[in-house]
Amino acid sequence: MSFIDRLFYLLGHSQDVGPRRYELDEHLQTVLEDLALQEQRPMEDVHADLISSALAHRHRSNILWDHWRSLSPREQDVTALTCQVCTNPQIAARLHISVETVKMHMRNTLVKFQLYSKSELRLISHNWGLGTLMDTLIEPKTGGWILLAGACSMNSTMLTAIAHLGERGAVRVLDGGNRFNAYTVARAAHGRPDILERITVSRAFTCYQMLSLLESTPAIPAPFVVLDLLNTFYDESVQAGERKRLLQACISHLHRLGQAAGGVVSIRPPAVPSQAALEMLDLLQSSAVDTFFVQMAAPAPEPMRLF
Amino acid sequence: MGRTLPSATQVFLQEQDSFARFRRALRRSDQLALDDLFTSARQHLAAAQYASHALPFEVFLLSMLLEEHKEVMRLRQQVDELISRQK
Repeated sequence: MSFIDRLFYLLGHSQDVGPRRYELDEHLQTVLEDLALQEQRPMEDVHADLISSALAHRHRSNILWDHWRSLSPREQDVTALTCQVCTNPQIAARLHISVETVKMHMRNTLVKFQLYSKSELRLISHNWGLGTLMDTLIEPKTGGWILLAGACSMNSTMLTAIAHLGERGAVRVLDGGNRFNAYTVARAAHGRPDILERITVSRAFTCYQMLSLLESTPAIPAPFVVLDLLNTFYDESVQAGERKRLLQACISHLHRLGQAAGGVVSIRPPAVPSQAALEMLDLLQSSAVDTFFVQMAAPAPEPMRLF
Repeated sequence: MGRTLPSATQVFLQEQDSFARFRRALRRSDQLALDDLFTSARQHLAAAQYASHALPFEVFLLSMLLEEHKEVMRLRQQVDELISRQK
């Protein structure tokens, strides 16, 4: 599934993703032949065994995914932190709830997963990558920038990440979609003025302004966050070719900033998909070091009215 | 250029909405008391906007407290007047 298909599928814009095609590359073919030779079995048997084992694994994963979806948001939080080997008091402190509440959520989770202990839960969830998104957001690696694609309801995640980044040092925020909400950041920073003073916000309301902002941002060792980068580039009053040229220039500046300190760029898909918008999404995705898709069930809140 | 921060009224309404579930779980009499508290905070939205506090809910809570204290002062004055009349 391509980047665009996956993004729209996750956001619920497309129901049918079409058939999936798989190709067996030469290396895999050689490995399978070696395996068949070692086990002295026909290739078809080895193929059948591997596929049935993969299907069984997929079936188990689907069951676990269903269990996960049956959890309440708070139970998911507690489960994720538990799987990161946090203790109950640590989870309670992080989620601002009591230890007893953490225990209650964990009991409910274990019942829903039909498990008996937290260690069993950790065992089955060791490869789920729980909690990696926020960890990745608050520890951007120098040498590039990561792309976060999803609905605008992920904005609170981004704002929380900005507050966490502010705890560690200076952070620069470039807002392309009027998404920065100082109150949400202040709340995530527990109102600490020292954290808020380290956060610098610049806003762009056109794609030209976005390029200008990125040009004028110095490449210093302080992480940067770009909120809703493509929002200004969806402006159809600017020629598609011009927008693409500006985006390419923006990407070169993102690389420049990323070399000095890591960064995070968030994007949302366009309200009305167009060829130019899809090309820009593709261009960004191919330029990012890593891409995360965020799927949120909550409806997107209305953006603040500018006038 | 345009609004980049929600107004005090917008934040107030958001905060009030965030307590909708809490309000729903209360008894009817308590719901009315809670509504009174929010109404009293609403009277000071202009001041809350002027305060530009990082955590506006703290200002709303202080506004509620302010109105409650005004009520206490008013009642205290009435009690004093009644006592002085009896004397």
